[in-house]
Amino acid sequence: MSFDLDHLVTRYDLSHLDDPFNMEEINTVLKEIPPDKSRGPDGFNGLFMKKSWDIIKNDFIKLTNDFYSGNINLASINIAFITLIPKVNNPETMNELRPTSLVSMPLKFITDYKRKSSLCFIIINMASLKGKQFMTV
Amino acid sequence: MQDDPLFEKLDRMFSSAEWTSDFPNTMAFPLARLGSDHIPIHIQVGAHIPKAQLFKLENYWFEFDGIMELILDSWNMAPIKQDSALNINIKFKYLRAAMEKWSRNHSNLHKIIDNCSYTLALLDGIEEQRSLSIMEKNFRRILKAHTPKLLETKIIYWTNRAKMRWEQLGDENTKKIILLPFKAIEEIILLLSRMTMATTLLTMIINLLLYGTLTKTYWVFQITPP
Repeated sequence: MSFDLDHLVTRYDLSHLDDPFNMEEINTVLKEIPPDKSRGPDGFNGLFMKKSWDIIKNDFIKLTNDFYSGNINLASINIAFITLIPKVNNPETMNELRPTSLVSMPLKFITDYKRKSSLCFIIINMASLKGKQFMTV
Repeated sequence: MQDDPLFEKLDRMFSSAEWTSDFPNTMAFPLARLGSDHIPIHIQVGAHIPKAQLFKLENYWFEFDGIMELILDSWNMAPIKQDSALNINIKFKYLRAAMEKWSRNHSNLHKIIDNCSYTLALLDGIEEQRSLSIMEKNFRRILKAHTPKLLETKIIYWTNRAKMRWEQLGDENTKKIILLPFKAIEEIILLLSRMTMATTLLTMIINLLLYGTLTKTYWVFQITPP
């Protein structure tokens, strides 16, 4: 099955992907972060972010701004647990397991912006066209 | 023993799936070979699975007083670094250490609830012997208000864990992907009503011939911006 990639991508308006992060966007991320999902290597979850946002706010805004300007070394927070979740009772092949990454909270925060999901939608669409499987982050 | 012994694994321990699930911590230790060419195996049976030493924030912690002050203090106590990622990482590290220390007194919910109930029963027992002092009465009132709160934290604790089953069936992401073909069918019906019957039928037949199933025709129709 063949398709025209360039043509497919230009169908979406991608100009907003370059904008700096604003407060509204940061608040949306905070609002939509699930409070009780499994924790990453740092051990903190979404509820912590919500409850103590007033305390940790400044550091996280600085993090997102530095991430936007590229003036950041992600090595210290770029850690994740890769977990295999069985889809059936006794999984025997990799097809019966679903890999998922439990990333640390700061990294999760900067990768959770809405613009990522719009990008993901395109990637998933294209991957499905190709018949490829994707890992969720 | 023979002069030229055969080194084959003769002595084994067998276990069934039920046994493993009932006693997950069963260990077989080979002992020293004395006299015979067989070895004795020492089997240690245990149902206790060691808990990971990883730090894990529990949602019920927020139900206790003083947790926010703890977060505030340890978050601001950490040294400030130039790199914002490193900065946050160090702050989390300080917070983890502080919360770990704090949680030692709060993580054994079962024990705390038991202690509260025991103390309440003790106070009731004393009251049968003699009348309670004002201090004792106040203490009992506080305990009575505190115990339901503790039980509620226990509910939060288990709700967190009950969610794990749900993950096996699929999370939001897979749900989206599974649901899309159904949306596609709706869209096909919509298209059917708009197009002239002849062209629609022709497209449907072509797609069915090309891609086999109706679900796959989805991709032919769906490549429009969301």
